[in-house]
Amino acid sequence: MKVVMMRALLVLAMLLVTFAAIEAMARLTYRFIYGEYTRGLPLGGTQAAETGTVADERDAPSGNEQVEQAERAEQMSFLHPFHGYVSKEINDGRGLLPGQRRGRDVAVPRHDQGDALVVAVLGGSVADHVAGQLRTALHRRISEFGRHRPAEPTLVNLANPGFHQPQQAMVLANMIASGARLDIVVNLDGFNDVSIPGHQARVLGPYGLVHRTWSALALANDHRARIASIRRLRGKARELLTARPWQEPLYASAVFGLLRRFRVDRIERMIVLEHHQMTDASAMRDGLHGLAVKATRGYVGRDDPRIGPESWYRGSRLMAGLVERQGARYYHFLQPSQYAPGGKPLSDEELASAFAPEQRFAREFMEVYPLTIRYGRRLHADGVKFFDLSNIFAEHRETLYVDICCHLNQRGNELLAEHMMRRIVANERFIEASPLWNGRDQKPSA
Amino acid sequence: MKKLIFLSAMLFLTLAVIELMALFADRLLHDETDTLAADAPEPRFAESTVKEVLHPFYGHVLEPRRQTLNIMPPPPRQEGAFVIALLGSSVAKNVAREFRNALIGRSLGTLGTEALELEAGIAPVLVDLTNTGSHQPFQAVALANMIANGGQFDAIVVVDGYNEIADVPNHLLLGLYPLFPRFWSSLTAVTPVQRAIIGRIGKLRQEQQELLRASTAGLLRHSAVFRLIRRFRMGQAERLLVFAHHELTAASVGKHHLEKHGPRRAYREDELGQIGTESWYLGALLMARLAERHGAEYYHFLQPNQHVPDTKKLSADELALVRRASYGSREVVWQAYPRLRQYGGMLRDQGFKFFDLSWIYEDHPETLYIDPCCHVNKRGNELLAAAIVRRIVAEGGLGGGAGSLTPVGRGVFDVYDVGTYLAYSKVPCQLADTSATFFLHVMRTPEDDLDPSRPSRRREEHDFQFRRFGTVFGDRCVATVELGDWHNATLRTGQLAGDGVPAWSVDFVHSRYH
Repeated sequence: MKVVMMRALLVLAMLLVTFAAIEAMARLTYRFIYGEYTRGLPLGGTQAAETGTVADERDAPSGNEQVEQAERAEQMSFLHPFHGYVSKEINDGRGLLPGQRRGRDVAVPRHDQGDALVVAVLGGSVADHVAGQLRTALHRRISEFGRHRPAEPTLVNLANPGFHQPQQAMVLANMIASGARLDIVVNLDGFNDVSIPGHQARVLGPYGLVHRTWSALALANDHRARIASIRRLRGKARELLTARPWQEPLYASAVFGLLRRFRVDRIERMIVLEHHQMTDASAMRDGLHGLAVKATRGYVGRDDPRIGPESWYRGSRLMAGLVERQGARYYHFLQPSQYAPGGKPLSDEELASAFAPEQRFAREFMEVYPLTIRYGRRLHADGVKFFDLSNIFAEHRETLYVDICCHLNQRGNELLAEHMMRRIVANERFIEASPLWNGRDQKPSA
Repeated sequence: MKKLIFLSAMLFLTLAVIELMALFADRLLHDETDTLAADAPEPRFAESTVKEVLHPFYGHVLEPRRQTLNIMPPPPRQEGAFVIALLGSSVAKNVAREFRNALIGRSLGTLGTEALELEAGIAPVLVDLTNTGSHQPFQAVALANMIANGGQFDAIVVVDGYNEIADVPNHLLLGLYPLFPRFWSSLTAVTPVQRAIIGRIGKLRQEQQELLRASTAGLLRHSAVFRLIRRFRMGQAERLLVFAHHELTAASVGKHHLEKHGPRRAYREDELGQIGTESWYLGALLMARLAERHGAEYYHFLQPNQHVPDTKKLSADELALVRRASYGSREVVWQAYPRLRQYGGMLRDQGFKFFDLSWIYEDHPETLYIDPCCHVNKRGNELLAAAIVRRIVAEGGLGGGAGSLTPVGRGVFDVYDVGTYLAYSKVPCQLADTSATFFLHVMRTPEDDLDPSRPSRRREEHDFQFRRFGTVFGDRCVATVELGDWHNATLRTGQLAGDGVPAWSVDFVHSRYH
């Protein structure tokens, strides 16, 4: 019995020594190939691709960056035939796809909807964020609209994150041509419009007024199967990196780590291959994306920061024309910005987390800001109800901005909505002599 | 020798018998009026999708090589130029050339005996905003886009009406939002399987086109045997196409996809017949108001169509085409045209210039329509263009605001469409020798330079010598210059020289991007 025990112990010791030797060899191999072994494997390209940022400061995006942009764009937005793209984060009452809201059937505001006052909000993400507060302010102050005050105001949020002119004008044209009847159109913009197109024209080629998200979506549209495959591969890689409770002991093993590492490497190679196939020169040239980009070539052929303010001005004039010919009113607001001179005394918190004047978009904004103001004055002179709100926070020392772009916290949005509504009400009272439903388009009798 | 003659005779007789039998079989199997050319495939959904590419604001456009749509807005108003935007679908696109010729004739005072003079030295510039397969709100959005990008127009001419009513039933049948562009669902969210089928369909269409070409060229086109073989091959290709279309439909059936199918909206029964016509009216109203706002003349024409009752005495060929029209398409026209006219009347009531051109072929029994849809041959386009120009002139148009403009005194090129450039002198030009030489200095961006991220693209410059010109309209010289399918060509300078022709140079040229 004792002999058997001794033999068993010996075998066990041998096994342990063998395992230890294998483990030591695995650890050495790992160290030789990859460096120090740690439980959490570095995921290299896969991780980088997931957390990759847009190469704002660089010139042109590389092939992989284009793929990453395409992946992100595909997750957040989808293509629209007349607006370029729309965000998948559909908020309240958005009518970007007329008649559709989160799969439910809501009609485009039309002329046969009785006496409801229909207010549409357009712009980028700041307009999108403020729309809720604007709706609240509209309901609160509807009694001040004068003797023609409507019973039920409706606010339609047509704003979309990332939009810049001429997208707002295109949305409005499409909505009106699709049968929308609006009483008041509110356009809050002026940041994306002036800070993006010039840079885009430099980086993406001469189609600065075509949004880069559209270009990324066109690429994603070409390669939906590949993008799905990349996502599946990433999922597998994540599984390999995440230890379930019963796997915990295994994660201490370098042998297991080496095997996992080989598998992750293989997955990464497959992802890289997919990327290469997406960005292969002929695929880029001959795919729908390449042709689509080419079809927009020459759209705006200038590498000039002024194209943003110019486009902003022309888009607004066009919108004013579209709205006023419908017998409705158009209000255009230049959004506030922490980069506007004298715009706001920034709090310490804002200085730390919401102010980055060295960033490309901030530089671009500040460079063309005087021109933007001049174009604003021209809008005013042209008879457009234009209001410069870039300094409305000049007396507010508290924190209002929440990021280095332009977005506001709840308090900021409330203040902004209140400022906008105050001006709208004042103007509506002024023109109260005009019936709200005057000048409606006729419809032939059946 | 006798044997040889006998053998030849036998061979000849055998061939003749075979030919006769083939002729008999051909007659038996096919209608006499059903010529091989009539077997020409009707442009279909999938074939077109392989030629179409996405556009951020126009839905989809023809791929760049085939593109004639002006992507770039025209430059700001120039001295001496009268800028006309033409909008509509394929019928408008097809009439563009004749319309342009009619405009040139008008501006040069050579269109008949009518007093059609533009102010001396005023050159019409046609901006082609037509897009094949499009319907409202495309026209409205495209015009708005041009204006938003700085486009300035003196006149806006729209020719449309058919696609607006014809596409709605098909869209509804396929579960698509009726106001989305025709090929949108085929271009977005296409799976690899669908794309493979679309590619196969494109290849089959190409084979059909080759067979058609073969049937009209070479000595063998007279042989009944070969005609019969081609018919069988055409039939086989058609069957494969039908099968591929079924496959595509089957592959497309599935969950409603918002991006691909557009918003889902339930329509009442009484709304269904009005979607297209109402969209047509709303789009027209928006464009007319935009034109009014921006100081442009606006002319809207309802296009003719062979299915509109009593608008043309159809020839035998046209009747054969009408019989091939897809199920329901004639009924749609019967029902919708009266409504389009009603809406047109409402446009007129509001002071906008709307004209119904569905009657213009009333006195033309000859063949004008070339397919079961709506397209016409060259003669048909000429008649249509002449009707448009006459109507505009009758309204006192195309002259507004031009009186104060003065000729630049040199020469101007106007770029009209892909590969074709027209240059005409703006001062009297005595062109005695039509073989005079025309020199052109061209800058271009090479076709293969596609990388949009490159900071500066290569440019090539060439001097070309053309002899293909010599047309004289009145006292002006007109040169037609074909530049193939070049892209991004910018014409810089030109010089006209010849016996007895004083050389003149051109220092301004319109640039064109495709």
